[in-house]
Amino acid sequence: MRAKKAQLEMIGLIVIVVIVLIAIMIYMAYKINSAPQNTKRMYMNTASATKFLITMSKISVSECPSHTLGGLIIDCAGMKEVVCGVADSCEMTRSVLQGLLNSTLEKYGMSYNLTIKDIGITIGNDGCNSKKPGISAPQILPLNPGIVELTLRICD
Amino acid sequence: MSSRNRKSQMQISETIFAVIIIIVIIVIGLVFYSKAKEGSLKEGMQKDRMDRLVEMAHALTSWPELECSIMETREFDCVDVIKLDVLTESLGGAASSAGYSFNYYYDLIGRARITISQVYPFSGAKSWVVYERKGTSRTEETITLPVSLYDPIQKRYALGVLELKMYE
Repeated sequence: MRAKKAQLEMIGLIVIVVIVLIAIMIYMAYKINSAPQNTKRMYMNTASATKFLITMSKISVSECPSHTLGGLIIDCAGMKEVVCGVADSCEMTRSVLQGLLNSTLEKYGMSYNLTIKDIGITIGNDGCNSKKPGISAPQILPLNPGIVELTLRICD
Repeated sequence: MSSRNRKSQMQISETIFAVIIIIVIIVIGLVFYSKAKEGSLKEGMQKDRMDRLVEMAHALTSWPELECSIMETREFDCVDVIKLDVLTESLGGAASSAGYSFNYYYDLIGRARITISQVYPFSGAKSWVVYERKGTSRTEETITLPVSLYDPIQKRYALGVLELKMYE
């Protein structure tokens, strides 16, 4: 009777040890396989979004030699006086922006969405929007009166 | 006597069995611990590499050798193409003879490749390999960032992409 009780206790102990071991193994396996935090990706997304906006507003548009892209955006949102060849400032802005995004973010496989609310420009790929996780960078250009708001979102 | 012997034998077998089980548990634990340690070491090394890459990419456009300055005012994320030409030529020339400037930058950057390519205007796009020192292993990390390229003679800005590749 006493031997049977001892055997039962042994079995109970073994069951507990096995359960604890399995829990440890599952935890270890999860810990080993968990992906490291991707500092590079986070930095690249943030830096690409902010640097792209800062850079693109300064560049000189080759089709409109005396204007910067920022200047064309401001004109498109305001007076609409600038004409570059056959295209007005809004058409030229859209065409240049599309080219810039294709040769930078698109080329490097990034999922993005560029919005310029005041002139109704939205250029994006892969369905990147505010609901998807990612990083948004804002840029403001002065308008007389008011401002033009640009937002570039890069999704993860 | 025979019954007592059998009982002793049973107890010895139980002890041996218990010791074997304990040894097996310890071995399994050690294997898992070493795997976990190996994983965390690799993760740490990768994180260090990433941190170094990000740090270097962040610092590159602020180098006085490359950054734009107009009327002594520095500009963010801007590379002066005249300075870029000079630095590329200087490091390219020094690389073959392992001159002072190349060694100076090797101490600063290590095994890496820095390329700056103009992407807009599309016509006449140029590319500069500013620095190159290949690594011995196949492990490499690359980062690409947009930069302004300023031509102080024509006073015009172009869009460029800075690519930093760091080898192990």
